[in-house]
Formats: sequence, C-alpha cells, structure tokens
Amino acid sequence: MSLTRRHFAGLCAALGTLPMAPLASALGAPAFLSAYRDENGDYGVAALDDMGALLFTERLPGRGHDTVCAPNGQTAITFARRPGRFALAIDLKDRNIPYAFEAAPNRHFYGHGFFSPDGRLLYATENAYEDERGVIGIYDVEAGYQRIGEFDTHGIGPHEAILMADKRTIAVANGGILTHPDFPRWKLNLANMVPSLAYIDLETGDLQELVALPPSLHQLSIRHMAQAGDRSIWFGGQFEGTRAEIVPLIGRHRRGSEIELINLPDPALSRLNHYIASVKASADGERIAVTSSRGNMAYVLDAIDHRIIESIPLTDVSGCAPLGNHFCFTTGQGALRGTRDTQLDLSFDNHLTGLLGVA
Amino acid sequence: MRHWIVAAGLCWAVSGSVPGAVGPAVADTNMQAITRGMIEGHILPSYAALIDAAGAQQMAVDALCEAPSQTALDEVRTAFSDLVIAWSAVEFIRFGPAREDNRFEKLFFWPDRNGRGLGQVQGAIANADPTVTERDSLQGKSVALQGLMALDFTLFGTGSEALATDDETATHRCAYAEAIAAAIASTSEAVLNDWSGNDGYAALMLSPGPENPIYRTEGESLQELLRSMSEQLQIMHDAKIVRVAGEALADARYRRAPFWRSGQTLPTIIANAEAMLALNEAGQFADLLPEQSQRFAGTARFELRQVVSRLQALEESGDTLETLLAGEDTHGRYAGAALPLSGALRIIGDVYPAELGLTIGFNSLDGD
Repeated sequence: MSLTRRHFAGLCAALGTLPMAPLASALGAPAFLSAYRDENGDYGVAALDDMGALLFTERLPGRGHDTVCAPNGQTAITFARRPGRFALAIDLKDRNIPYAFEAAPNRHFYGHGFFSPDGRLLYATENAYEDERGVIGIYDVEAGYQRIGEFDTHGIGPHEAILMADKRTIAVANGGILTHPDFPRWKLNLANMVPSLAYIDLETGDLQELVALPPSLHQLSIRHMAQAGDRSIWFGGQFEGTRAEIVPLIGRHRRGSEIELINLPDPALSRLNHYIASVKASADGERIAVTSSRGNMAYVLDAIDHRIIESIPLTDVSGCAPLGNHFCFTTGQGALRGTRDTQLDLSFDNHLTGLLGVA
Repeated sequence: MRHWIVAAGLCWAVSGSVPGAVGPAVADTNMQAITRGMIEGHILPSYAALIDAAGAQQMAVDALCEAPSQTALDEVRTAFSDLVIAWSAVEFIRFGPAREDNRFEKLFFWPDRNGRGLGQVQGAIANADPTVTERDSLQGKSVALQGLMALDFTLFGTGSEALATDDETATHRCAYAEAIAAAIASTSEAVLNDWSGNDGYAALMLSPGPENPIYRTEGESLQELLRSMSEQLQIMHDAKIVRVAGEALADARYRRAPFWRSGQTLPTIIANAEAMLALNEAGQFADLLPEQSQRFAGTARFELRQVVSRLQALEESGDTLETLLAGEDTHGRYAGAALPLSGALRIIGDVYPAELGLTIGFNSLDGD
C-alpha cells in the first residue's frame, strides 16, 4: 500500500509528530544524507553539503536507518529502522514535497535497500515475521513505490543488502536473528541463530550462493557490508555470545570460496567491543572502513593486505561514507569528521550516505 | 567454562586501584559501591537461592517418582512455585555467565513464539523419549526441553494429573521432570560458579580498567547493570503486561504470559518487581547518587511498590489469570500495572544514568 502526502500527515499525527514543510532553500548540492534524532527527541533525515553544512532536513514519523540514493541522484529513500514500516522518498534536486510509503502487511523494513541500475525499481530488506523468513521487497518507483513482489533471502534477519558491481547480483547479509514486532527489538533465537551471506540474482531472485560462518561463530550476526575493488564482499558483524570471548568481527568473501575472517591484532580487535556498526569501501575499492559505536573507534583497512591503515577514536561513531578515497564519519553526538569538522545539535543515526560521485 | 580472564590472557589484582582508570574520584567510588552492592547484595545471594530452590524441586520430584501420590504432586508443585519465584529474582541478568553456552535460554526459554518449544516438550512426553530422562543427555538437547517452561508443562500441562498415579505414561513424565529439575540446578550452579571467586565475573565487573577485556571504567560496569534492569522493566511492561492484557478486554491473551499453566504469572511478575526493588536498595541509590538526585531513588521505590501492590491485590483474589483477564475491573487493574512500570523504567533507564553522568551513546546504546 502506498501513502499519499495527506496520508503521511495522518500517519505522523497518529505517531505524535507533525510533518514539517521543507526547510530553508538548498544553497549547495547535498553531499551527505543521514537520519538523525534532534534535541526534542524528534526524528528526521538531514542533508549536508561537502563541507558539512546543514542544507535541509525532513521530518520522519519515527527513527530512520539507512538512506539510499537513486542512480540519477534525484531521489533518496530513507527507510525506517526495524521494526518500522515507513519509507520516505526525498526529492534532492527540486525539493518537492517528500513522498511516504509503507511496508506491506505482515512485513516491516530492516532499514536498508538499494535501487536497480536503471533506477526504476527499489529493493528493501524486510522481515516476513509471521513466516520467520527474510525477504527483499521490490517496489516500482514510477508507480508510486507500489510493491510488486519479493525475493527470499534464504535466511532470517536480512539487514544490509547491496547491488554488486556486476549490476546483476544482490549480496545480502542475513543477520540470523529472529525478531517479531510483538516483541520489539527482542532477539528470539540467540541459541540457534545461523547468520549467512546470500548472493541472489537481481533479475530472477534465484539463489546463486549461500555461505555461512563456521559453527563456532554462529552467534556473529552479519549485518553490514561493502564490495572491495577486487569484487570481494567485506562484512562486519555484531557478536551475540558472551563478551568475554574475543572473536573476529570482520570477514571477507570471494564468490565460490569460504569466508575469510580478518584477524585484527589485539587490542585493536577487542577495542571494537564485539560490534561493527557500518562497513564502507573507498571509491577506488582499495580501502575498507569499519566503525564501532560501542568501541568508540573507526578503522580504515587496506583491502589488499588487510592491515589497519588508520585508527580514528571517536565517541559513538557509527555513520561512515567514502569521500573519494578517504572516509567521513558521523557520531551519535552530532559530529561529522573527514571533511570540514562539523558539530550539530542532533544525534546522527547509524548510517551516513555519500552522494558525491552519484550523477 | 571459566575463561573471563584467561580469554584475554590477562591478570590483575582483584581489589585495589586499577592503573589508568579515569574519572572523578568521588563519582567513581560511588559507582563502584553501587555495583558492588547490587552484585553482593542481590545477584550472588539470589543465584544461590535459585540453586537451593532447584535442589528442593529435584528432591520433591524424586520423592514423587518414587511414590506417586496427590500429596507428593502437590509438594512438587509448591516447590515449582518457589523455584520460579527464585528465578524471577535473577531473570534480569542476561549478560556474562548467563549468556555463556546459552544458559539463559536453557533456564528460561520464553517467549516461545508459535509454541515451537512447547511442541518439543509435548513430543518428548508423547513419544516417551528415553534421552530426556537423564540430566546429561537432556542438557545436550534443545534449550526448550530443559528449562522452567518445560517443567511448567510437565508438572501442570495436559496429562500432568497422572503424575499422582502409578500410570505407565506418568513414569516417563516424572523421570523427565526430575531430569529437568537436575538440569536447572546444574545450569544455575554453572552460572553462579562463573560469577564467583577471584577470577569470576563479579571480580571482573569490580575491576574495570584498560586491561579488563569487558569493562574499561566503573561506569561501564554499572551501566551494564542499569541497562539490564531497564531491559527487564521493558520486558515486564511490553511482554508480560501490555501484550497479555491487549488494548481492550477482548484483546486479552492470558496464554501469552509465562507460567499461566502453573498459576505463577502474577507471583513471578511480582517477584520480578521485587528484584528491582531489592536492587534499588542493594545499590543504595538513595545514599550513593549525587546528593541533588538522591530523591529519585524514592521515586523508583514508589513506582515499583505500586507495581507490586497492584498485582498482589489481584493475586490475593485467588482467581486464575484467565478469569482475571476476562473481568472488566480486574483486566483494567492488570493492564494498569504498566503505568508504574513505565515510571520505574524512566527513573532507572534514563534518570539514574543521566544523574550518574553515564552518557550512553545514541548509537551504542541500541545499535542495529
């Protein structure tokens, strides 16, 4: 079901917030987008320019998660954070009124997605919670984000999904954690979770490859990922086992082979506090950045020799986006680092989306 | 398995100052005292009481299996009531030794969405599965087969009346119940064992520092406890009250509550709230919070006492949960426990951390 602006206003009112008209005129081109919570506890999505200046914000009816941009750079979609059901389409260029739509009945968003290469379809990771399986919902952009179908992700709890560089394969991180909106944010299967990495054909939805972690790491929830220049998928996990165990949190996978776990030296590894919040690749694909909000630390790794090139201690760092071959980072305390350092009176949410390089 | 410290290859003095620990001295001392009070005053003795209750349960079931009778079954059921109330005092601890080896789920597999765990228990009884009647083999099986919810069905579910008789089918069921009780005792002992001693989890929480594999500051140790309390209050509010009561009388679903078969839903929620009260006292928040905020400890106490007294009034009626949730007045009173739970949650989840200067990051608190 899609929502009109009027319906969205109703939805916002029902949720106790009021939609706000688009803000100030956009002076520069948006370079970054991030969901946030402001000082009043209201949620929104913010656009910043390449120097970190705030260009405009749009209100959200609840906490947002990731934002994805269409290939033509005109539209961006901010997804609700799980178990949210709203998505907001923002017009980045003409600043038309945002358009909101909802997840299907018995589905909620996980907060991530991507556009098809031609920009006509939007894909979103979703929870088919009554069936206890993960799906990728498919939305027809021209038809007002009408949901036209879904693919099985062959796992529980799909979180981030990306379109690989071949423009034909979807890589999905099946986090493995069973949740149900009746028990918000409660993990229902920690004893027997099975995270996996699935490769799915964009056109047919067929499963091409499914790889799992070794049984000893079955409680490492694979959540976020990026593709390196050598086409391998780098992923970051969040460990649900006892925190006294020091386990690898970052892995790398090449199609057709086993998962390779990245053995960061200690104390760099334990510093991450069992938690990776974002994984991004640099524009040239030779560097991988990972953030840990729980470890107050970000690392930039060399994608070839897997060494830590740079350590960036930063309180509550989570969002990360490439800026050329470097990276920018955002924090829950309103800091933006990596371009001109900026401090805003809001909490940046988990993910930062970089728009430079998009048409 | 004991590897809190071994895992990181570390060793440090259990008492005494930790080099490199930073922060305002007075606040740190207080935080340490609060953490110590909660661990020594509530967590450790409550786990010990759980082990005792599990042992008593095991003995009672043993006596029932030896000489089945209604009296023996009644005693088993009374012991079960003591056991789940003892459990409710430590239910909020979902970290550390309870996370190891899925011990938490082994003790308390709930919520059981779609009745999957229940189906396993019913299947084991219906098929007289020989592998569930010995503790060791039971402990190697599904977490759903070996905990309090499995025992709840075994002792109170359909067919449990036969436990009072010499009936053939009851023999297996009784042996299964005994194995569950033994498994609960064993798992609880493993948890307490990992908390105890110079290299136990209590020592770990009380020796934060740069070398500590988990807790770097005294604030982080205390944060873990406050976060666990908040989660428990949230679970009580969301899953045990609101989701069970529903929005209106017609939406009430008593089967969504834990321990409805044994009639222990209200006693266990009351015991959950009493545990929060006990922690509030053991942590001495009324004395150890910064002076200007000590009054909040009284607010938390007031709210939690409200939860207890409202639910106690319902419990004293002697009616089943099903009956209570079917009556307009009693349904409203059950649902009404959500209000003081929210109040307690606000104090313990927001006010205490803020007053103690424990800034929990927006993303690190509840990431995704």
